[in-house]
Amino acid sequence: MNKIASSIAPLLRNWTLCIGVVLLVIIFGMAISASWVFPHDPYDMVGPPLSWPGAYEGMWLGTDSLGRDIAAGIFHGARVSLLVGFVSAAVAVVVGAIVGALAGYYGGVVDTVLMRITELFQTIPQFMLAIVLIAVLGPSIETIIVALGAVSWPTVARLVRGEFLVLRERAFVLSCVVMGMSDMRIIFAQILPNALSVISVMSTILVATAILMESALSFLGFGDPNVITWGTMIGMGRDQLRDAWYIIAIPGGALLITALALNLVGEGLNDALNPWLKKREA
Amino acid sequence: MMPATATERGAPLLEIEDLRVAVRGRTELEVLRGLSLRIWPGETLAVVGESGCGKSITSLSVMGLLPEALQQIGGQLRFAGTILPTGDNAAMRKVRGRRIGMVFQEPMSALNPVIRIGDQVAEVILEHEDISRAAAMERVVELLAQVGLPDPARLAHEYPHRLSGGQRQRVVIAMALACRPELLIADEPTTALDVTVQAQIMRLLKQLQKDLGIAILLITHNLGLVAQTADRVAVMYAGRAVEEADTITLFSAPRHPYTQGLLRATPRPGGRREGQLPLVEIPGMVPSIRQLFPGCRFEPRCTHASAVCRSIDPPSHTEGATRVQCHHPISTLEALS
Repeated sequence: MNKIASSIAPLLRNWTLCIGVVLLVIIFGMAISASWVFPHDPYDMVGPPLSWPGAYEGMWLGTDSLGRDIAAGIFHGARVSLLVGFVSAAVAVVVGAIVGALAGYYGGVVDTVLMRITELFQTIPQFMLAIVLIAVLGPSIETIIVALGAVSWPTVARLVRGEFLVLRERAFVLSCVVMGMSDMRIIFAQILPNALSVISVMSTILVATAILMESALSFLGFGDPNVITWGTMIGMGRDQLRDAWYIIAIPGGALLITALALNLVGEGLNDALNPWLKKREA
Repeated sequence: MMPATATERGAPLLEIEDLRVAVRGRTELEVLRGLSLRIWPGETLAVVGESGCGKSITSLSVMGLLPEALQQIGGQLRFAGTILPTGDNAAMRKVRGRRIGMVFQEPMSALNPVIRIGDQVAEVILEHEDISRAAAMERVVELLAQVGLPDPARLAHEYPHRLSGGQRQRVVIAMALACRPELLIADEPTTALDVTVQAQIMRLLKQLQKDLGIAILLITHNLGLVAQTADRVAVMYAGRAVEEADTITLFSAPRHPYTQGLLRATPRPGGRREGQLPLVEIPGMVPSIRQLFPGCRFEPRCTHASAVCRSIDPPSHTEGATRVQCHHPISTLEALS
């Protein structure tokens, strides 16, 4: 028990990580509790349109131009944002890590081929590629996840390749080879764990980027029409921007806080996992 | 104990015959120029020589792990009677770790920093043997105890940074011996360690050799270590074994002028009081592989050189218990004086 306490203590002193995690937990709580707190469809009209926050009992974040409860939208939208953010980041990390690991470990022709493919993806603007993919595949949660994963893996691949180029020269890799270990085992069981700290920091940023991109897609009308997302809400509120700015500001604020929380977690993890940066503070 | 002759000892475990390794694509630049060595089961053969003479390349050749820039252009490696498939990576994988183990110079970086000691040693066993993880872990604890680590069950759960250099080298040895290889290649196993720890590690290696009957190929430039631990010694110079003999013979009666030079350049405690000459260095440097000349590679630095040394590379010949490559080997009487 003491051992656990002593390993958690330095993490608690890391305030960026703490704040980030607390915010994320709250957002996760909203997403999970959405069906109980707001059992009705968030697209249902539940009150008079354009009522300001607090103007009516039970609609403490107000309603939009069609009388839909904004609070319900925020809670239900959190589900989509987190789902899309985490799953597409996971897709990007898995694909990127495999490509980067193989390229960095084998070098030579394998590296050249894989890196040219990666660069091919990187030269196309990410957002444009995502829009094209969704236009081709049709808008749904799954295609958005696939599209966002497809545009963000190259960054992971480059990062992991860089790590592998350094790590593969370390003596422990040679001692694995000398022990007759297979390449796959060396790559994924021996070297990859050494790159995990960098990958985990990277993936928090990826989640934040994916959530923002999903909102942007929804705002432009490329989102899944069957589910409410923060981006959809912002998109639908833009006509009332002058007289009812809260319709945009509330989901916008939710997005801001989520992205901020993820960045804080990433920063905090970086401090906690990267021993070289600790010296900077001292 | 008198050294047994080759016929009495039976077949050698590892036989390196006329091994030639050169720069890939430029075969005239030879790093190993017809190296021949033999190791019998259960003995320790020390390979000594200065930096760049091809000691490490020899061990990498045996493992089939020559760097990309080098290629084997001739010769044969026979292990336990069969030819080592050094060019076939998949076939060599079954030999590495399982039949030939290897220990490196750097115990600090030879362990994966993010994997627990026990899991690292278990990986080796799991790679080669079809047993459960739990059974492998039991073997690991036994192994860690065998290499003299205190409280092995607890240590198995620690990460490498919690161990000292000597302890890490013991773990590396445990990993090399995990699958009971017949041959252990130790490439400068104690160079990075404190002198007191060096002695402990060497004693451990000798003890394990006695218990498990493994042969050890000890690569080093430390002649003191050789005198204490090796059964036989091969002296390498510029990619060849210029002299190969049992340890006592080599130290008491070196036949090759280079061996004699090496011994004269090694300090001995009390040497001056007993009338030993001050340390004598060998003049000059090892010729670069780019310098091509027909004669003996040691000729430019040799005090015994004659015209024939300049024109003909000396072949290997056996004199008594010694195999030497020299046109004018130092006679036994001269060496003893």
